[in-house]
Amino acid sequence: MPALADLDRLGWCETPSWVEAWTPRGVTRLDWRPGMTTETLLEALPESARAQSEHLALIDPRGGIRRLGMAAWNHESATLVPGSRVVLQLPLDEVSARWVDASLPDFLATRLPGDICRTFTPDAASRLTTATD
Amino acid sequence: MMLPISRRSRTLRRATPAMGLSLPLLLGAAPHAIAELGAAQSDFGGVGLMQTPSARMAPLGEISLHYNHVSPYSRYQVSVQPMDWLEAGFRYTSIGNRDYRASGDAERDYLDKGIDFKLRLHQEDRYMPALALGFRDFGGTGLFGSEYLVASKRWNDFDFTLGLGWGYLGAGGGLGNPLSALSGRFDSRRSENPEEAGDFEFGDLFSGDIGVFGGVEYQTPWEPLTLQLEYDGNDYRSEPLDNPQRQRSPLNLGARWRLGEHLSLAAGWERGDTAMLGLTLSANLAGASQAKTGDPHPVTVAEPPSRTTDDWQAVSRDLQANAGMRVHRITRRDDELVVEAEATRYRSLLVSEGRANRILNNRTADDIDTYRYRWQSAGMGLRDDVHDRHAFRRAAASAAYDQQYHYGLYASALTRPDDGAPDGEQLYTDDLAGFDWQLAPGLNQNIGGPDGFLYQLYAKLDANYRTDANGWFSGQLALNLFDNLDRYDYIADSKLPRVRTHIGDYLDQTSLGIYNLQYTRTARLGENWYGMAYAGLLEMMYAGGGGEVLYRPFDSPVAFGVDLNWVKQRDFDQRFGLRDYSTWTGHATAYIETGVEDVLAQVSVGRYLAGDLGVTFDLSRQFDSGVRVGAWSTFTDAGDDYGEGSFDKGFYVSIPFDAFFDTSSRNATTIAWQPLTRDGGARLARRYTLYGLTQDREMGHYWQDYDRVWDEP
Repeated sequence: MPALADLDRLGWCETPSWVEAWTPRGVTRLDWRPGMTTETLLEALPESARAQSEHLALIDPRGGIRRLGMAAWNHESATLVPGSRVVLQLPLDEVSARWVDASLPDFLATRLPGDICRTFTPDAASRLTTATD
Repeated sequence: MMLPISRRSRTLRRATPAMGLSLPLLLGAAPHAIAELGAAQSDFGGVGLMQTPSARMAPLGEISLHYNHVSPYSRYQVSVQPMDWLEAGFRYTSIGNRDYRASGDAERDYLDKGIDFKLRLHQEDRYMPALALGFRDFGGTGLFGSEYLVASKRWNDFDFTLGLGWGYLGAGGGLGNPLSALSGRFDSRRSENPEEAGDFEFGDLFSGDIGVFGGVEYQTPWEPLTLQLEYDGNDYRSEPLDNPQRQRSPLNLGARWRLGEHLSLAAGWERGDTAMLGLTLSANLAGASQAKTGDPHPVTVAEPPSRTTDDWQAVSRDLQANAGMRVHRITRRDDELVVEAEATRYRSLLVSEGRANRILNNRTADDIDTYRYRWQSAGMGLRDDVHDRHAFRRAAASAAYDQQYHYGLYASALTRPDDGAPDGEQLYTDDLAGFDWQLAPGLNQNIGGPDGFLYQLYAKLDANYRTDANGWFSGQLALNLFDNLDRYDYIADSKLPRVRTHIGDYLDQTSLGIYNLQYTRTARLGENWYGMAYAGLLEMMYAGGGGEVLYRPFDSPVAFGVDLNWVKQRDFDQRFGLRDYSTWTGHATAYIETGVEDVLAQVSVGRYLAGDLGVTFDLSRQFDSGVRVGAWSTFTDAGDDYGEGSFDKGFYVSIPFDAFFDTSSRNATTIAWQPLTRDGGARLARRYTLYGLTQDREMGHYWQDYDRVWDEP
């Protein structure tokens, strides 16, 4: 196991009831439903949120990232689980936009996949804290 | 609940907060749906609609076995995707209402062979379609020969394809060929010529009138089902072999149903009055792998003992059993332990070394700082991999020390030009002498000749007796179990000495034969030089002797080798008798790791078995799974004497056992397909090659295998 002192936090989350969409219009939480896919999520968003994006990044609750096509010419579909986050690519062909497209999913992959999480710092394992991310 | 996360979990490394998740979250993480659109195999094989191809490609490493029937044609095709941008395939077409004239059997249908290629020129994006250039039935008899330029564009659940075809694909079009403006040679196209089978006639490429073809594929809401509508550009009144077919409609309709990951079925209605049925089996070679549940568990890393063991016999037994190392010698030099060994089990040497580190750590005292693994093969030294023992131990305890250990690892060439014992205190030696044997089934087959499918199933007994580290006797005995060689009847015409075309006699007249019985000796001749000599019954058809010298610098993309052999043809019964024919044969070979998509190029120049001089090109690609796919072609001065086929060519797939079994193995099996067995450009089938024996002179995936050091099977 890794040295405990190297970890920021340890813990677990209760399964949330939402999935998150990170779009050029902002961050939206939608209720998760059984059988939900990236396609049904996109359909639930206003047209302007989809903008002209061609790809999205799907971040699963364990921090795995997959990039999928979402335009008419390349769309793919994936099943969503509660706590998933979907980041739409910015419809701009600029270096800064590409940087956000690459870095934002990486960052979100390190966030807690739920609202009610029990975490504790390893060096003070007895001090249980509740974090809202 | 807390999930037991392995110390080396990739997720853990990415996400700083080490999170456990409740179980329902994980169960839903199913793989996303396989994209069905643009994945169907056409009637001819290769991705497309029905009669026509599309600009789509299969995933990298995909291999498809495809059967299709549209009266009067039955087609059997193998397609592979060796590069993202290249699809290649070969096909047998059986024509139900035409006889195979070369065959003695009047019942046998005409059988035609063909090779296809498709190259992707442009990947689809928002505005531009995918674009591909293809060659169907390239070279050969060219009965169905076509060239085409095709574009595909997807719009949600529809995939549209439009193409321009020359030859068979565009025969119904009757549009003038714009290339005629460049040269008169594009004006017209000769009809097919079965007499010139196997010739590569470049003169007809892109010549003659062109036609338009195209269609659309629709993804139904039910995921496994797609539907196709196609406009067929062919003119069925001019079918090859004077075999016109009625065509009521140029539109073809079809459906494809995918049954799971590996099987799909196709059905259709073509030419307005003919049914089509197809079946495709597919698998991906690039990702083929198997969990190694049958491997022994790596030893748990313990505190180093206070004093180093004396029982090196036991250590070497453990290294063999757990780390896959056949130990030749163990030497201590101050604070270093040098282990000279041969790899016997794990394809990744770093996996072997990681396991050996654990064993040695638990047996050697703290004053040994370095473990050095000197890898050998057939007694020849290959390289030196060096591990910092204390860094390993720290990394085993905590991922925090990974970097220190990982970046401290190094490998180097052997600086001494010979394989003598290293300086220091010799703790253990083994001369590696010993006997081993193995019984396995084997299959000889010949597909697509005038005699139809010929096969021989045999039991194969392999035995090796190693006299010392550098020398061994090897033998292979074959006992015929079942065959249908009584159907063997056809002997190809040949104006060359019959060096290979007696194949049927060898198979037919042998019930118990010696395929191989030879003595081989190897030596390391200098820092980068290797040598080998051998004599005996070298292969099924030849006995004799020969040798090879290879120059292979450490971790270099190039190597050069020369081999020279004197051989005499063996009797058909494959015992010790010899026939009259004898010859010198040998080649100079350059091996080049091109650095382009893991492609290895081998170019050999030399003298072949029939005394013809020429060159062999061999291109192959190895996937991460270890599977290698390749093709070769040989051009010699035999010229017209070669007969049908013009030159020797073939495809092969080499599959490591590792990809399919739950225990690790360094062995592989090769399946080769050679459309015609002829006497020109025939090479001696040498049992061992120095390039193969010294494969670990290359680092391969060594540095990428780091995480596997910590894998628990």
